[in-house]
Amino acid sequence: MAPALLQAIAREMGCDTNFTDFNLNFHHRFENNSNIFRNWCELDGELTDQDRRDLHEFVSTLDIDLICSAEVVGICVFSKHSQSFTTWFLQHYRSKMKGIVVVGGAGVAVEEYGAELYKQDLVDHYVINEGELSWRSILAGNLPWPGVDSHGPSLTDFESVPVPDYSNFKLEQYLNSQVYGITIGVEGSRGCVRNCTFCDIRSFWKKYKYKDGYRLAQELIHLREVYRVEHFFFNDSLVNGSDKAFRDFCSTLSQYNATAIEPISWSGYYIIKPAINYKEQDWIELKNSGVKSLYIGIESGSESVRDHMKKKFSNADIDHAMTQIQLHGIRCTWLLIIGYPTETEQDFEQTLDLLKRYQHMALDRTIDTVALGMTMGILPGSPLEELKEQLNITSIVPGQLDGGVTWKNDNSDFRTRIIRRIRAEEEIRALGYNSWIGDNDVVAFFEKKLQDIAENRISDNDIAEYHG
Amino acid sequence: MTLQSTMVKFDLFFDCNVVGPPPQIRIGLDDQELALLTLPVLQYSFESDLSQDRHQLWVELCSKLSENEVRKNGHLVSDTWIQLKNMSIDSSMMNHILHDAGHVCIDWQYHPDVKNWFVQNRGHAPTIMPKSKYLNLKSIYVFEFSLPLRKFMDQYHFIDPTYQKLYNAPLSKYLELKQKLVN
Repeated sequence: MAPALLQAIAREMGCDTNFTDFNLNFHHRFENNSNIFRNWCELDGELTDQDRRDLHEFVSTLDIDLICSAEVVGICVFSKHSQSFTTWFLQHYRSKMKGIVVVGGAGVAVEEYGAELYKQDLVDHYVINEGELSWRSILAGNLPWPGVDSHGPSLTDFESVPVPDYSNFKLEQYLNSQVYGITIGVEGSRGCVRNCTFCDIRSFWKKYKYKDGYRLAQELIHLREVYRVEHFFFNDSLVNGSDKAFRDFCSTLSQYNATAIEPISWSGYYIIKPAINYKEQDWIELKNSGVKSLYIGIESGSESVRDHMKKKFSNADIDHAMTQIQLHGIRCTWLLIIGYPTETEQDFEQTLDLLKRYQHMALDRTIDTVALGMTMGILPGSPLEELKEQLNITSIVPGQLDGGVTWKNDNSDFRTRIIRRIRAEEEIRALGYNSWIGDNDVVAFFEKKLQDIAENRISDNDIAEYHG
Repeated sequence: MTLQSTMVKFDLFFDCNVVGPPPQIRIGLDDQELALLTLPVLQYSFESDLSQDRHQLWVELCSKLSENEVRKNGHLVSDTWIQLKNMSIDSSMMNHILHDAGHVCIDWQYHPDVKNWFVQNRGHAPTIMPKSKYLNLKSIYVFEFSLPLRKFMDQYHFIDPTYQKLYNAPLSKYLELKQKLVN
């Protein structure tokens, strides 16, 4: 979605733009090459000579001449997993580019990656945090600017973010589009109304900001009509941070869908709230707004664990919300965290009990999928990082950083958590839930981590996205 | 994305609650009619060579009485019904097809009351309705799927031969690791 926002801004400023999705092409080209796709991109492994030839051949199939002749080349680095290719690409093709080269995106912020590229003279500028104003200033030549080549302030006027411009995007080629029909990402908010201890979002966005619900719904209707979008996926941390905005959004889309020949459908992350927050009409309008699937961070079956996480909902709140979700024929995915630092064996058993209690919703596909993740990882910038001493969290390898998934404390170590994770996997399969692991090969990941520990080291790919 | 022709086995299972004379259903794939069945039939299986990107599996409920239909706000709430209880294509896409990819081509001639409800409440009566896993209108029910979708789902190891669960990896891989750790 970020490139679509940057394209909208550039066009507002009168620039001619073009967009090429290297990720999409890369996926199509290398999805069956495990050394490049898994070992190199995800685990920082080595390329073979044949891999290098294949990468050059791959680049030759892209719009490389256009890129090399552009006045400004903006590269969005989607995640840590995009870093290997970005570095390789810049090392081999930066010298051929006539214009200035800018990198931004979530992958640039990870481990000071953008600053490192800048130091190596592989880019002219890097942008961290939100890029809307920085991108404008770069295109206008208005530099230096806070946020360009340095940390900058967060965007305060969220309503000024333009409607994304998906011209030049081959929307039909994305995997989600092949499953749901033409699908695009949208955002109605940034940040979160919670400050869950395991989450690092507050290190990016101190405050929760959101679009007016009516305006957001109109944005979807506009995108639906311009790009024939059939399904929207919200990139937000949660779609129902503001109850009022969410109500307005659902109400507006319900009205649209009531007469639309092809109604809008959408999916996104949703937080359980106290039962009194939503009335019957809210659930009806949620359904009629076209919601297809909600991704819900249940995290644990233990209330004491969830209380420590500061999730702020009870088992009774889950029961109420799930009853309504089932009643209105909405589907959802549950996200669980195995091995939170305060999770005891008894707490873990409560998670298994929760799954057993909800089996009927697995069988009727109300709970379409359960995502168990890669076991609890302690993210830099999360409140848990500040609580390490209090929770007696130490490194499993003395003298090395104790971040990521391999930490230990009185309640568990990595081995214990893997065993719990596998027990949970056995349970959800036996009960009839679908198991979701995203792109991750969980068993291979665990085995590599165990090997690292056996060799007394913690690899630097420890700090990754663990929660599927 | 290069796609190859693939022989695919279809297994359709039906669950019926029939009041009155047994209804008939016609089954087809794309332009080809495959069978005319008189319910209750529990299962119908066939194989086909899929060569295009997109395909349509369709089921036509072609004889059903409507005297027992009870509607609320235009929606059927009680009726003779037939459910496609389980439908699989090469063990992978049942879930998607039943829940996400269907639509109904309604023959309004047989449902004037529903048509009137739509006209009065929504201004028009659509010729295509959103998906429904229940075959409770005399209509053609179309389930669309694509080979790219199949490729997508295979990628995530949707391999359970009983097509009830979508697995990410064989459980044996997890259990082998667990055994090592326990020992």
